[in-house]
Amino acid sequence: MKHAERYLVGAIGLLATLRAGAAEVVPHVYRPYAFGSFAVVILMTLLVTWWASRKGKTVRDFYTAGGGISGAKNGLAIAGDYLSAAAFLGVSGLIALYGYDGILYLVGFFVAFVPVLLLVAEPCRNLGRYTFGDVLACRNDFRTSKLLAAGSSVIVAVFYMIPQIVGGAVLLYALLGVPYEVSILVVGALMLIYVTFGGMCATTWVQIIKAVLLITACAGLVVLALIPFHFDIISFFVALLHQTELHDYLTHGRAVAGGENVQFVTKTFFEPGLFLKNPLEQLSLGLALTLGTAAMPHIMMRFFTVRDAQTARKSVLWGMLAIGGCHLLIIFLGFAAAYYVGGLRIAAIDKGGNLAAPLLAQYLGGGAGSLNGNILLGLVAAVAFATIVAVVAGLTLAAASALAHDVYVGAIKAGRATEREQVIAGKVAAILVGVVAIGASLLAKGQNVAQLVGLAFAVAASANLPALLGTLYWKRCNTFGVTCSVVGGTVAAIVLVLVSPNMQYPLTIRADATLMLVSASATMKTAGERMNDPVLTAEARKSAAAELAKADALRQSAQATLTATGQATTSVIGLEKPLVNLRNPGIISIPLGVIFLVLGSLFYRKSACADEKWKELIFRRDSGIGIDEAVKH
Amino acid sequence: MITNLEMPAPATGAQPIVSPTQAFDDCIAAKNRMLLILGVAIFIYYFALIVGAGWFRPFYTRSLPGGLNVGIAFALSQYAFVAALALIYARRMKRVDAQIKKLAEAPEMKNETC
Repeated sequence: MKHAERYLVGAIGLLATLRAGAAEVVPHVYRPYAFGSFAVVILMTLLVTWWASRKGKTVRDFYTAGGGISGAKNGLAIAGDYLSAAAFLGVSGLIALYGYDGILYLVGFFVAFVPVLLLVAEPCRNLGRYTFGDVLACRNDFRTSKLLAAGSSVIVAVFYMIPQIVGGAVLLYALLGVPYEVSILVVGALMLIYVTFGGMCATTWVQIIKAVLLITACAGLVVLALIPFHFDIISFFVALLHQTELHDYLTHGRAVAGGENVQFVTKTFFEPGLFLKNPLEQLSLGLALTLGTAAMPHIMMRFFTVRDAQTARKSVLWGMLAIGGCHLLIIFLGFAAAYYVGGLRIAAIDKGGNLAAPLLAQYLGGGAGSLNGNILLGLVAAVAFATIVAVVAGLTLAAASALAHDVYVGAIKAGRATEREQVIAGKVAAILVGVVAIGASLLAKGQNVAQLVGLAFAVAASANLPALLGTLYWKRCNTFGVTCSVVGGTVAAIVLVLVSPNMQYPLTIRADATLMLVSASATMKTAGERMNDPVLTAEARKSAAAELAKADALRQSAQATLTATGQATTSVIGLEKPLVNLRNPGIISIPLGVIFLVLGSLFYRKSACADEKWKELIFRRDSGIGIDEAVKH
Repeated sequence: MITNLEMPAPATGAQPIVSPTQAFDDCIAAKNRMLLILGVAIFIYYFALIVGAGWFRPFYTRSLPGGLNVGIAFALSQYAFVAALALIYARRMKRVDAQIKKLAEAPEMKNETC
């Protein structure tokens, strides 16, 4: 699983690989149409924001849209918040290139909603008001809870935001040739407009629009892909199983051995092992995904937007229906891209396969040279872009509410702030978070930020979840245990990533670059000799020239890498090689977070009022008595 | 308007804080047992998929009728399993909600504050 996290972020892998081929995806002549598709989708979301900005002015409107969103709407908004570019672009590409292993990723994203449904949604609604910090403060020390929750929420949100923003920018560059810096500013500006002008109401509607568009786009592509097979899915898969192109792709420089029997090779596409090489890594990622989702601040925040626990439950059920349905469509789209576009072409444009879905849309619309194909590609890309912007808006609001509500109003002002002050604090915090995320994304140009997604899930699962579940379900849990869990879990996850193969190790990079340099030089020498052969045919000469140019590009790339690494021999924290051979730290950091919670709670004396607070919490957690009145939508 | 958030959120007023009856405690204990069973079930079912894909690959390659193999069938069955589990949970919780509502409104649950 050497590049696993790349697929969690969808378009991120494009950053390094698409520079040369980007402009060829949408020919210049068709770009206005693709831009038009983008403009329609973005205009819709901006109109909704304008409408929402006129609706509510209170702090409750800003953070929770008044708390009266229906279960179905909130469920769709949850789907919009959760279905990121990772699922749509990343996993469809992963399935198109590696088949079965891509499905494993998607399943993890879906199963993650079971802990949300069983353990988190209803208690959060019954105990919280705007943030994760509110829930922790029900039982634990008010100020400590607020600061801890705010710190970890901001860390998780920012870690998750940066790869999303970079992914959106890279998508714009890859398809339409918009410069990276401009794209980052566009994504950042849109998320700030949604959040600061429309608050939770606009963010919710943007997420609903995005979810509906995404599901509709996926369903439309599936219908188009099945028309030639008269909607017989079995026939489609039989055709894929016997496809010579799939056989050629799998045997072309891949681990699958060639053979005369096409089916013998192509059936490996439906079996595990083409992509996931390290089972322990997959287990670690699975743990972080399934447990981290329940403690992601932008997901938790959605449960404060509904009337009561029953509606929160309905929200999750609607959300699971939308997410599960969309996942099944995405799985089919991945296989359809493999059949129609082909792994060789997808990988040639982007090694990570992140453009599989847009390329499939282009093919089904009539191909790269057709107007319909490029309009369809533009629409699908616009939906992917809306996907990214909606997720980022949810994260911005979650981080802003943590800073404004927990830190400023809670910890600094001790809960005493006017309505107006709270709204202003929320908007200022949103701008602050946005500026930090945009700045970090601009600095991330050329860097691999994909591991930040895995890290966000790992921090949420290792720090937030033990603290949250301990507060909700363990009588002996106390403030010290929660502090140990949040601080210890966060530090453990970050430190484990700092000593993991995710970091850049100059010695390894230089060794790889040197090997590449030697190999490219040898190829250039051979190709040069062939070029000088007087009896060479014109076609063979052309082939040798292409080989020479490719080898020269590789040589230059290797030389540039060697120059860039300079004299450095260690990673940013002074290591020559990774200490832990796991890219995702979940399998270590999550148990550590739980141990910190248990030990911290057991070694700290019980407060005088602990039993009463516990009884009160159980009563409120399960009865919902005492929650705020909702505003109807 | 000044809002004071020092009280644990989200209390909007002085609420009766509990002297839970035995029946209320029993109801909550039964609910927690259900959560535990469903939670353990999905944990085992999902991680069996991951563990199988990592360490029991030959088993996953076995063919099934309809062009499927064990791995594909097991992966797709996760969606059906989660859906079934969610439906079971939703149905059971309807009963639990009714019970909790009835018990929370019982006279012996009120009139005691922290």
